[in-house]
Amino acid sequence: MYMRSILKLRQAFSVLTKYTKDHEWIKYDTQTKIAKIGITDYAQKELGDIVHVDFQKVGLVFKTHQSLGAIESVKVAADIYAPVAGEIVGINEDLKDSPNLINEKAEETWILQAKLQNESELDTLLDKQSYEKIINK
Amino acid sequence: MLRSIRLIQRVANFSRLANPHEVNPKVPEWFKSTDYIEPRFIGSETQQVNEMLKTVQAKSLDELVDKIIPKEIRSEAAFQNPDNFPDAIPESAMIQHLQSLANKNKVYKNYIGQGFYGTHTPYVILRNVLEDPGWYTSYTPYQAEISQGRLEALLNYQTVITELTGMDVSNASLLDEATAAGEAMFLANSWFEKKKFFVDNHVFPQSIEHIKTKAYYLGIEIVVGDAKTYDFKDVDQYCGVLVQSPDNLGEVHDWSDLFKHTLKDAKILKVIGTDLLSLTINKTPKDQGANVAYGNSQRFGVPMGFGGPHAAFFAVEDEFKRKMPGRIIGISKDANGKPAYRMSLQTREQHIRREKATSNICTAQALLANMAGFYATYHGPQGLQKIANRVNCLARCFAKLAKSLGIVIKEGRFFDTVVLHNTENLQEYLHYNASINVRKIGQDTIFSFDETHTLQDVEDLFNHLQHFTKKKADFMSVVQKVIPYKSERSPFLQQKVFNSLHSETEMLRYINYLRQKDVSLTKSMISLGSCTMKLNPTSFMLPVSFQGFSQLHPFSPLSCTQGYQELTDNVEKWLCDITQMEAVSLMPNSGAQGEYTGLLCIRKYHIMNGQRDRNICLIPISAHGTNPASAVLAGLNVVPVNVIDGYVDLNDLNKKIKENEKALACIMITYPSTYGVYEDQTKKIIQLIHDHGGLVYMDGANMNAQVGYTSPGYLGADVCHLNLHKTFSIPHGGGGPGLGPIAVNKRLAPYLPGREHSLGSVASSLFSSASILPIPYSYFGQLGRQGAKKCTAMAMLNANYLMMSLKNDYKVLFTGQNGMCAHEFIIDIRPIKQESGITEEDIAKRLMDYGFHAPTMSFPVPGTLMIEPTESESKSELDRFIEAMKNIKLEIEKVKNGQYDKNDNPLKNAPHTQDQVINSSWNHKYSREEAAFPLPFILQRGKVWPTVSRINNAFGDRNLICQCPSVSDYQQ
Repeated sequence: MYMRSILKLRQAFSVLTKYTKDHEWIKYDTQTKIAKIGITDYAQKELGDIVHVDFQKVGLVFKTHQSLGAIESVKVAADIYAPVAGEIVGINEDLKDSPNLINEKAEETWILQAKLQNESELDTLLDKQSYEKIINK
Repeated sequence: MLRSIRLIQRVANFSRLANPHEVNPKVPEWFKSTDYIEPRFIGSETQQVNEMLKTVQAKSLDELVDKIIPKEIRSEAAFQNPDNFPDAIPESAMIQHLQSLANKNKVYKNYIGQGFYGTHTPYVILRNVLEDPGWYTSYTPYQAEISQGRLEALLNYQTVITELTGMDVSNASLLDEATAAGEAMFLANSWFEKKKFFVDNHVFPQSIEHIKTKAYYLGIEIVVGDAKTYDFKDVDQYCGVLVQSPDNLGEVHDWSDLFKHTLKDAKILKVIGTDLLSLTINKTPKDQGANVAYGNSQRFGVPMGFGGPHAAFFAVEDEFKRKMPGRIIGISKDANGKPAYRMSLQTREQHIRREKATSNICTAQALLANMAGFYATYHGPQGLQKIANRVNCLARCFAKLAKSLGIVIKEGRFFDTVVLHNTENLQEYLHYNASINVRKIGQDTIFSFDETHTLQDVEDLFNHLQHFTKKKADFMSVVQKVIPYKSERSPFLQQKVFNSLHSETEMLRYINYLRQKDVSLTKSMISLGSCTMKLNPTSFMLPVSFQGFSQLHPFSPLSCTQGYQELTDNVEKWLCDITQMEAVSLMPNSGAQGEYTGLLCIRKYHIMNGQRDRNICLIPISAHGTNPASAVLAGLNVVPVNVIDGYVDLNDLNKKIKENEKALACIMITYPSTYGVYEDQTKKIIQLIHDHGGLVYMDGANMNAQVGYTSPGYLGADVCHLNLHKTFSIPHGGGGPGLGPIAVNKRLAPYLPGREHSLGSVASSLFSSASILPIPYSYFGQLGRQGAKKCTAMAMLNANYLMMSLKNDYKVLFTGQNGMCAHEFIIDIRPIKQESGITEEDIAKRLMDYGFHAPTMSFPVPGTLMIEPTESESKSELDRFIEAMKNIKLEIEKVKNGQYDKNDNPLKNAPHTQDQVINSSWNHKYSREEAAFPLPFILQRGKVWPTVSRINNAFGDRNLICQCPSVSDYQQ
């Protein structure tokens, strides 16, 4: 009983964070089984002042690498690619009026929430160290 | 066949125009005319040319060309035969000749209508906008700080459109009404992702025709029917419904019932095509439940010009603004917090979105939109209503008069167009007996009234009708019974700008107040790479205003347009000579539209050959963004091809060809490449594509480096477009008009618009912007074979002279054989950024402080500047530019070695405005002199002061405002 609740507690705080070489991050909550997807601070800097986020619709079932919408800065429009396969279950409504939140706190500002098709696909993604190696190359 | 016979006769006519003594080698030089354009067109005189040749280490222009252009691609055949391409004629002779051509066009009293109407261009606008190089020679306002004048004018235009249509956001205009309708259809398709679109059968036929063409290649099904009676039970299958009011037969509809009730909950785009003048007294499209309104703003003071150029308008509800095609002007603020205009939401445009763009059209009709905006400013809301009521009363008066003679007219509410039923032969009667042109559909005769008509004209028509019907009735008693309708409009255009400039003095000053804020070719060189900002000679421009060219309706009968027929035949013929192609279509209204039309030609060819599945279009990654956008709209799938060091990667090309062997439709290439280099492997690439069943599209952006020395036809391309607004001296108009005719070889000729297996229609009329064709006509005729060729050589000399002079200060990217560039070159600012933090944008903005317009920024390579001086700039101007660029390099050095602060330096703070520099509190770590007059020549010559400091782009895109502030904002 004791062990169980400890486990539960651990799980509740268990968020797995992974990265893609396309500069998305995905934070997967093993408890709620919901993943949040955003872009990295490095990506935010490269894009410059973000002025608009173009969302796909909630309910969209997507494959890995499929476009989940686009981020527009004053000079570029960049796709957000799906790190893994899944289904969109939520979008960050705050970004509609304040897209600059991504510039301010990229690593904390999620863009969309998704249910994953296959948890184990997360293992194919980069961990923080490997991602940092890529951007510091 | 008939057409080609006619063509030869006409060209023979033209050849005789060159005075035989002028071209006779036996006549001594000193008897020849002294007013040829060539020495005026080319910026530098012999002495200066020789000095520049020394710098580029060539003994002569010929030797220079030999050093630059690879032997295997040279072909000068077209330019050796005087039967092909004309001898130069002097300026005065060309003016006379064009006047005689204009006189061959018969400007009859015109009631044809159908989207084109007579209008009184206010003379203050005609002379100070349309005919003023301060307005017509400027470029698209990408450098907003030195473009505030035309940006404000365009914002006024957008305000006119949103106020009259009731919509939330308007763009800064589209090419023409038909393509605007096509864009609405595509918007519906991409928004609702359904493949069926409904068009009411009373929409203008030219719009329906284009919608059908566009839909055919995208696999969209168009259903044409009567929207009033159609049973919309299957509405779920449709992505949109497009109707018009007033419609093709002039009826004014209220579509509220359809849009707000029948189709209230349908997931479709609701589109209304409309007429601006009618909207000053009729219900707005917004009030009728439309999501999109479009139409032609021509009748707001822009001459009909046998079809164009005119500005089509396109306005949407807020929800759709990010998918709206075309440019949008918006208000942001500058570095000092002052309001400043700029082009908003540029990430929608195809140079950024490429194959994901919402449209391939990157230009507007800025000059014509500005004219329409000024027209509304000059008349104001009451003035516009007065014009509308007058036109409406003339039409209703005429209808009553016709009725009084027993003629049955089409009943229902109309604005300016009256249909007389069962009047067979009336059209012919009026044309032959009274020199009056009207429209005819079956047994009906149709009259459209406009601002230029008078009550006398109505009485004349009435008299002819009395004669025609052999009946009599009283005129004046009918006239007195017609009174204006009560307006359905709430007050509109209440902003100050539309209510304070109604005197000519005020208008004149406003136009000039705006003009002087902008850098145009009247002020300095505009060295934009890939844009060819060359001279637009005054004698080329003058004929555009000749009545015989400007006042003709595009659907006038052939017998009235003989002058235009001769003009267009010759332009087509000479474009064939220059490109060494078989046939030309003058229909595409812009460069991107040329690309689109050329690709449709290719698609139609494959379809007719039973190879509908050939739908892969290869495009090198260095291509301009319009290439992939046009390809997608032509229903092709884009496959990018790698580029290594500026050259197409042949290994990757081979791989992509193999992968798509059976589906290969074509490749799109630019020559010389977008990097400004004559690739020697182009013929090999073309052969490779042909060997695999594909065709070759050549982008004409860099034609200024080909004319006279090589040609798309010789290189083996199947189709190319030509930017008449770059290479052949049509001015850029501050962001349009453009003209992008296509030239095709024998294989593709039958698929051109209007021919045997026509690809369809890509504009409102066959010659689209016909009234600006006298400009390229003059280019060919006044420069002639030798002159046109010399322009090419001089463009290369100027570019190489600039490059050689700057190469020790800036890293030059990509050169061709012997280390030479073609007509433009790229300097790399990325190393500078790394060392000093100074970016290409800082340099671009700093050039404004020196009185110059920046070169092209970050195309085709990010972090670079691309410089194209053109042949028209003199060595003195090039030297000033060199001096400026060298001094900027010294400033960069100062930032690097710490003499200047990293952030507070003249580059980062550029451009500097007058009020900043004279402000008594100057807190910067450099002097006012360094800020505003960094070199002696700037003080001596004076300069255009940027009227705002660096504009905050992010603020403008996050807080989109694209209309004039309302009255209440002024009061605050």
